[in-house]
Amino acid sequence: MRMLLFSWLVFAWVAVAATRSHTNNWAVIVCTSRFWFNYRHVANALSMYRTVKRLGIPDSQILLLLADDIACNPRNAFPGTVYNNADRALDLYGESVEVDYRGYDVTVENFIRLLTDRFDPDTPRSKRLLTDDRSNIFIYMTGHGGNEFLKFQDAEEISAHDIADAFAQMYEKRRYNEIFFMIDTCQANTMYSHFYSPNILAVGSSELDESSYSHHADIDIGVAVIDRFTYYNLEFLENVSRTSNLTLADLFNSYDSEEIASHPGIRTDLYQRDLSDVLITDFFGNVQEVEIDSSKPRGLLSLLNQQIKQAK
Amino acid sequence: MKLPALYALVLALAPGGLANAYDERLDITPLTGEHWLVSFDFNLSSAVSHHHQLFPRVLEGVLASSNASELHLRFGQGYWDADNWGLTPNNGANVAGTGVELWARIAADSYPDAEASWFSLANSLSGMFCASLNFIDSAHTTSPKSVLGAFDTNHSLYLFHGSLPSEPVCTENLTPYLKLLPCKGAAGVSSLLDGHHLFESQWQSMSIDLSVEDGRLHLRQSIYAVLHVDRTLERRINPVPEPEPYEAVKCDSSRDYSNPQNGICYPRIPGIGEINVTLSDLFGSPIKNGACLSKITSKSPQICLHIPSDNWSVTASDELSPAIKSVDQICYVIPPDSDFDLSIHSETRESVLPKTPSPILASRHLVGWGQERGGFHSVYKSTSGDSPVSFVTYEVLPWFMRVYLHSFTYTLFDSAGAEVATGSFSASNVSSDIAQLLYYKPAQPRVSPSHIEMLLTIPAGSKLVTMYQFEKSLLYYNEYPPDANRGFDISPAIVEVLTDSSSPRAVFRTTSSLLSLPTPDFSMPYNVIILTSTVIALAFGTIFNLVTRTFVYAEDLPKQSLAKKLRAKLSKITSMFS
Repeated sequence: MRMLLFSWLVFAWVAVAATRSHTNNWAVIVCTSRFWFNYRHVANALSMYRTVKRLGIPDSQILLLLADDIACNPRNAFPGTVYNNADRALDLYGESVEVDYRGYDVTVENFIRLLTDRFDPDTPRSKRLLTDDRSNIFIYMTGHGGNEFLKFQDAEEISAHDIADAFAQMYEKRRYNEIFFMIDTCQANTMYSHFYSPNILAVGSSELDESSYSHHADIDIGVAVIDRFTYYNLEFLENVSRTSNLTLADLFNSYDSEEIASHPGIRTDLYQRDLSDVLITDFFGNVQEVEIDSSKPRGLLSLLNQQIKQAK
Repeated sequence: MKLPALYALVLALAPGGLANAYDERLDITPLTGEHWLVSFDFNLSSAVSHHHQLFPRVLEGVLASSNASELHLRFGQGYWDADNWGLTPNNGANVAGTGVELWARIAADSYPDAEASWFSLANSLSGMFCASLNFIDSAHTTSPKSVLGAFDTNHSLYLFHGSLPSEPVCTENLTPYLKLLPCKGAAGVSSLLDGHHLFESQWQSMSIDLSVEDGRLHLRQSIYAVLHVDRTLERRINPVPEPEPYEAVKCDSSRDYSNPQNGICYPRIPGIGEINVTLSDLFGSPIKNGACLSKITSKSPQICLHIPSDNWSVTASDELSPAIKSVDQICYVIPPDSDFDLSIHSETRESVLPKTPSPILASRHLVGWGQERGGFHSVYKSTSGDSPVSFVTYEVLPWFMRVYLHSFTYTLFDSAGAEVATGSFSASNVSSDIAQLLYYKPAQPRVSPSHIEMLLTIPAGSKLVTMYQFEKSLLYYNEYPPDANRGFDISPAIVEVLTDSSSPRAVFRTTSSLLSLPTPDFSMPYNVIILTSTVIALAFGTIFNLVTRTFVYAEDLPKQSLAKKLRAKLSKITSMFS
């Protein structure tokens, strides 16, 4: 009797797993650079923030980490704004922005804690990544990096192994359904080279020994305003709407290494789905799917417990 | 059964009546011809209940979980020029210093319990207001003894204060701040608040004061900003400031050599002459429809201009007539059904109302040189001509400034600038009538800050200078922030002017200071590692060679003939096979 129940349980779980899709979306957007001259990295991060917000992920499900205050920096000739283009048409800071970690709070330790959800009990909910096994997470990082590392605030660095291990822990703790990892930094493709957990799709801006370059500068702001890789990503993503059928394959096909001035890398070996089936809104948008709880394995477990009690 | 029904009826019949009282207002006061103070005030009083019509539920949760009976939060940036602008609005009661500041009164059975609630309070507020308030730990926490309302302390209540002077204030702090308002910043005077205009100001301050009294929750939110009118107006035409073309430069015709036709022009001092400005010019939009407000309160929002009415004229949109008009102010009640704008005009904008002078002017600066020691030098000037002024100062210094208690001295100068009195006021000499050290708690490295409270009295028209010395500590390598060479921000001192108990105290804060600490060369450890490795490798290689080899002179070697050598090799080979 028990054996039969157990096999039924396994079968049901496999059936659910096979048809599983995500029920919620989260985004973690990190700019690891401090100082005014790294304006473009903040603009990179805010470009992605704008996109996920525009496509429907609420602020409560976006974790924005900015290592310095650029918008209200005394050097900023346009207080309260961050622009990603010298035409200054699009103010990325806007009128409503929620920065969850800022300044000295953006550290390697806090980033790993955020991914693995190991926190002090006093940490507020808005600073936590409260995902489950049905969450699709978009993780975007930008800053100064090198072969298998990314600098945080000029003071410390995170290595490719650290992120890979954090993802592995997330997988073990069933904290995600799928992860889309995007990174814009020099030698970015080395950052995802050590990932080993399933269902992770990774994109980087440049190969080993290759720099990622800025796109252009604004002479009134006085510094470069955006990096090439993010600029062309944003150019594509601006045409995506909440109901769009564009897929990640379309996004990746739009990459032109001449324009980007480096060779973006795409790692798909850990990812199950065909990229031409994966909607951009699967990661950048917020799709709410409601499911009845009884189909979940947890419901079956309680059923099993009941059966066992009755058998006794 | 009857009572709840009656309660519901009362709620339904009297929106904004018994359960909630809400009002908001905007005051515009030209301080000088070019600097205008705008003050936004939002007052909400709500009965403590589980129904939250207006009172932000998140804040009540924070109060409940931390057992706080009072909570004060301040965000501020910029410099308030007390010399020219006088006392800060509302006697400074709701005004922020530089950075972020938090204080709260917490009910608990014991100090450790209260402290734990305080840290948890700071953490939850950090998530709510997008500020790194979670950095308020024991090394940033003090319990004020004679300022911030500490004098009416109850024994089961603990007062905690913490400030982070290096915290920036920006749109991400304003966004959650506006969401606490009943109309979320979409209607009423709060619809004028927008990060781009607010953070362009010369000085700005945002405050939240929350208290529980007589079974009601009181929430007061105030935003003050000093706008530079000319710059704000120019920004609309010319986003990037550029020098004016010669034809547009206004010349000062009062100079006798002025002759613009022949190219002799002394530019006119800004902030005088004609001005013509609307609310939309200053804030980017008119006040938006107050329909949301009319649902929740019977009091319509008010906007008041504090101007001498004979030199200024004000016109409201739709020819609305003012609710109050007197020699020094003009007020309008904002209609609930349409957008509202004001047009303000003056031929002589430099004629403004006389300012409320600050009873004392205070400035504090770091003195000394070198990497080892420094000093704090505070100057207090009395502005009143007839009576002495007494005030308390509250200073919190980080633990890495080790204060020398014996070095506390003061010097008093009379109105002519001559030295009148000088003395020291360490703990052993508390009875001076000029300077008293009320409270001093030395810092404990990495655990608690230095906490200094002084009671000072200046005779009318005099100037008092207080001084003390400190030693700079070295930090651990990993305690330095990423931008250690910029320096370390020191919290502003709080100054409260004592008055007779009936009137509120005037409060203000000095500017924050930037202390430069001895910073190591952060690449030094790597250089040391590389250098020592090289030295070790060289030394090891040489010594290893010396101990494992035998050195002999070439001529001391026994001479061997070729045949002998071959024989030796052969015997070696044969021995291998045998």
